[in-house]
Amino acid sequence: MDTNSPQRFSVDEALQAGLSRRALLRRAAVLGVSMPVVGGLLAACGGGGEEEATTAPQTTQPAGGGATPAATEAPSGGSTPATTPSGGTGAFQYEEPQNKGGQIIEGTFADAKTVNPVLVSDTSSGRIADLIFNGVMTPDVETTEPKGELAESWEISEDGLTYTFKLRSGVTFHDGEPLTADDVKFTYDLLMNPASNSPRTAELTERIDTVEVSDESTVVFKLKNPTAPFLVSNMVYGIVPEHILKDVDPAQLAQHEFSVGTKGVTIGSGPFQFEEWVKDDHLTLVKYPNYWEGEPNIDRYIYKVVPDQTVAVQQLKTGEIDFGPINEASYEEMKAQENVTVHEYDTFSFTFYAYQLDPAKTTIFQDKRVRQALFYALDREAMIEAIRFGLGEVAQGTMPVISWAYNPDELTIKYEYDPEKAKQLLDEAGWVPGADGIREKDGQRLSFSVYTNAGNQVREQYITVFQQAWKEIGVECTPKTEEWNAFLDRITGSKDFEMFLVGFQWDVDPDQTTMWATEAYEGGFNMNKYSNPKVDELLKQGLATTDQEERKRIYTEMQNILLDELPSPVLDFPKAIAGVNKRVHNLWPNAVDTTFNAHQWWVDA
Amino acid sequence: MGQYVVRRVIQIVPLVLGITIITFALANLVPGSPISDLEFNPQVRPEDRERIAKALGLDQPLHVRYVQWLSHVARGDLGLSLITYQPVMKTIMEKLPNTLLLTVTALILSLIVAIPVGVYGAVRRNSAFDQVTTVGAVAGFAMPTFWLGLMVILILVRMKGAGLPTLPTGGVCELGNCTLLSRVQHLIAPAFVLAFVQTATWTRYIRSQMIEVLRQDYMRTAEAKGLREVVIIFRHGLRNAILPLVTLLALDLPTLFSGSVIVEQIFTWNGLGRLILDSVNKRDYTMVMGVTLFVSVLTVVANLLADIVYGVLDPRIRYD
Repeated sequence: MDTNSPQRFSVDEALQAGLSRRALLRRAAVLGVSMPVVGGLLAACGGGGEEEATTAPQTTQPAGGGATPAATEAPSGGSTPATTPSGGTGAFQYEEPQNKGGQIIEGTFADAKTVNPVLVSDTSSGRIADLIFNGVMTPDVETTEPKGELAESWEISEDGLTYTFKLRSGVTFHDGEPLTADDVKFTYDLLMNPASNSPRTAELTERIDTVEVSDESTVVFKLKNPTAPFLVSNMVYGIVPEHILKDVDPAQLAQHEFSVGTKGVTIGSGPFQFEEWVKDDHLTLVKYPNYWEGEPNIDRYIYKVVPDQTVAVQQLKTGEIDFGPINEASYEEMKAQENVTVHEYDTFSFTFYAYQLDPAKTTIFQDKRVRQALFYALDREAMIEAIRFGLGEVAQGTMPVISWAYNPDELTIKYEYDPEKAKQLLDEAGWVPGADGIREKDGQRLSFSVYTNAGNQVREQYITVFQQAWKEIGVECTPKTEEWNAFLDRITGSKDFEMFLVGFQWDVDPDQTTMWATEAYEGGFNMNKYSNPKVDELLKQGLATTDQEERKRIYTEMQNILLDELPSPVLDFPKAIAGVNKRVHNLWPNAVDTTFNAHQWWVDA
Repeated sequence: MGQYVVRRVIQIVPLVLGITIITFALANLVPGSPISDLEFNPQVRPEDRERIAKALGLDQPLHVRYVQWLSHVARGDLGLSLITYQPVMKTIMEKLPNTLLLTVTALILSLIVAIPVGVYGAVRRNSAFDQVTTVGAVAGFAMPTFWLGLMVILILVRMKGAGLPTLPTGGVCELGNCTLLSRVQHLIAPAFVLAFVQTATWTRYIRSQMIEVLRQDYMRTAEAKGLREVVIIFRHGLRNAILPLVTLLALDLPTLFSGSVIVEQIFTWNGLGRLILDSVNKRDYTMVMGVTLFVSVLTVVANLLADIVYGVLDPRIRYD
């Protein structure tokens, strides 16, 4: 707590009244003076009240990003106002380097947790791992299609079960040792070993049968079933050096000096090598001169923790950070800033709300006309304009704009704002206005509550709009907010809700099994118990089909079913905004992989 | 006195145990866990989540985990962070110097201002100076630290924008170029904010103590002897007035170690205050427990020291 806590009770008074020191101490204790930790703990536990209000209202606790899909507690901001053509800063334009040396400081709200790519599950750790290590494959930043990174070429067998990767020659780890097919096999064996406590083990063991080295530069993966997302979802993890880690007990991997960051031990084959990590403050990487794509232009990259959003924006202005995320509220202010380029870009995020479809919990949403009516009654364009400052797109279907599976022209239902149609649908469904204007059917009122996580201003405002918009069509909706973890327990654990609103951040691959499949009710993210055998079937087909056009068709068919049945309407696809100091060149923030060309980054002298 | 100290030391044990039990229960009963970010992540399967939770020992009942933690502590091992896998003690020791640098600087700054202002206010009671500083002190009490901190940052940013010389708005040192000058520059803004509020408090203490002392008979005696005013005020007045402040300072010791959560957060100061907040937010139970134990032991010991010092300084006080 603050060292100014004694001010809370009057020592003047106590001393003048001639209280003994012991009595004084006792009184101080009662008033909570000099109990710094417990006080701090209580303040922080109390819904994060003071802390959240004063500092970072939109910290991303369960962050996702890059190749790591994750639900976001707070998707970081949007971008171009809907009135201007999207794309903001447009496609990547390479600038010939005019200077070597210097450093780039990136600001982050949350520190990394590990620098070992085998253990990464959060965005921050992912960013660092991406710079130190290389994956076999990587998604192309413009098309999101698979592209070779360490792989020079790859072949997929007819049956879609055997993947043969030919590795580039001349790739070395930061200690000069060559990276070979053995390192790839070692990395995947480690990922698939339950003892290593990697968060990827279950998915990989479900998909991969064997990994074999056929020669120094060739590695063969045999899959159990054809798996379309395999290349962009599973072949992208950073390859770790076998010669450093072969004798490490997998159970001790997380606390090994390789994983907690040690100069000379934490080595990969990426453009930057590990230098220093002062936890919760900054992490420094230095260039690897022998990087296989070419020597990086800058000498140093620093990942700096700035937990307060307001402060982060100020530091972008002063140049104390060169690159960092910007929240929606600071967007206009930053656009006016002369020394900073503001990038707006589409992401793999979406905001959705879910109707409780489990009849054991509530029956009011069983009729799809009710679900459709509520969605028609929302003016999403206006919501994005007013609440996201225009930094997002009205969602058509469930595939984000940036995904190759985005196919709005083929979608049959558009859900444009139409309160009259909403009323009509509710009338048809038998819900008629009662005495107080709220619709009723068989003695039941059309009244429910909607939950979202407290502290996320966009979502809090969204559910307030729900309340107003639905009141106009005779529906009573009570907005409720909860602290993130309590909210998470509610929607994934007890499932005690009628409706909730949250955001999701998807993987590069468009597979959405975990949200729509019947089986995803237990352990997955089909939290409202939606079930449709046809959708299950299409999801399976989509996973097993490697032809992209065919997959797109399958997912379009699936989206049309979802749009008709509307278990969980997708509201919007928010954009992200990032600021980059104008002295920095070739750094192109994007949702796929911002570090794709890290070796080309350069700064003015 | 000796007996008294022994008795007090023995009392510390159940007290600290009680604190750890309460903190452990509170920290663990709050919704969430150190692996909550794996919970809402579509690529992480429930099996992986359960396996990792088990490896961290989170599948054990609360009391079992407490006893395990305690038995490690009894052997001098505060354990590993559940987030970064770094030893808790090492992390505390890394951050302690930063916190001490900030809090001690702020304390010294505030005393340098508070003592002359407080003394002068007491001597010239109800003068214009006294009234202005009283209003200033009340304003200092009333000002929320986070607000003042953000205002200072905004001013610094504006100064930079206007091309004026300015100070860094965060961090303990310039990244990539950490010189002594840079450390000092980074210290100024957070130390100023922290000291600002403390100065208000200390000014009030010193003023009221001085007023009390100035009323004493020996002060009149000194005056009657014809001593110079400066000698009266400083040698006879301030020295007596400052006595109770020594114990207040001792009481304040733990806060010097635990730091200021708000100032450290706003100014991105890598100290113990932020560590406490971060580990609570991330549900890093072992870190929360380690820091709590560290600071509560300091608190209890500081209180004991204050009592003893008080007895030494003021012979009228007897313990038995």
